[in-house]
Amino acid sequence: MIKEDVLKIGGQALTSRLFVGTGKFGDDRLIPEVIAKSGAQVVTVALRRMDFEAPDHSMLPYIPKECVLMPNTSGARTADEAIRIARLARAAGCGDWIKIEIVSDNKYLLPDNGQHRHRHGKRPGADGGGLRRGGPRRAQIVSGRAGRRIRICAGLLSPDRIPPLNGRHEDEFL
Amino acid sequence: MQITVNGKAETLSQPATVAEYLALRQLPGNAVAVEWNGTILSPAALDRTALSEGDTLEILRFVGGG
Repeated sequence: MIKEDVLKIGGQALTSRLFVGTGKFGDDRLIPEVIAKSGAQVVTVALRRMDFEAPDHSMLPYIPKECVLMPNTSGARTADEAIRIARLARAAGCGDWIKIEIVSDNKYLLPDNGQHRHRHGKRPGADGGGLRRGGPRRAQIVSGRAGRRIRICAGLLSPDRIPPLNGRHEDEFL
Repeated sequence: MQITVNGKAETLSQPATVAEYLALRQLPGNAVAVEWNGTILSPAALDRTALSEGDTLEILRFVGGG
């Protein structure tokens, strides 16, 4: 007997680990079929100012009611802005799920790990032993100037937990 | 009455609550998020929040996003 693989998040039992977005559909009428065939149960959406001069169109009716709506905080440049968007989304009836996006880099759309860290209390990268604060832009600068190979930890590991590469630790981390 | 909605000035010909303004715009209150003078309004607060001269509204809706 195959045991059902259930993912529990926030009291919600999910049988699919696939979360789908809704930002790239050429036609919103494709959304129901894509969700049905993918089996996804969590669907992300964004929150934007109502454009009163554009024809009124909502894609919400295309999302099956049994799906969990997870709004993102796209457009937020700081932690405070992300929180504001999250609260607006909840006030609009989106429940308690939120996907945090904080992008201060409008050129490369890279996330601001410092702001993410501020809100979550987690280090997005290494600290101590090398570069203390960082982010993708600093990684570009460092890798260009170093003239040697650099390992960049973009996750939650501190330097002493990163396994050695070819028998030795690298000197610089982010 | 002059108010600002989504960054643009608007003139209301008569007093209105936020809910009445949304109805005027044919916007269902449960499909949008509303911020009034920096305060996020719950759906229940829309029809008991009266608009005043100089008020600022931000009205947002859900759109496709990843």
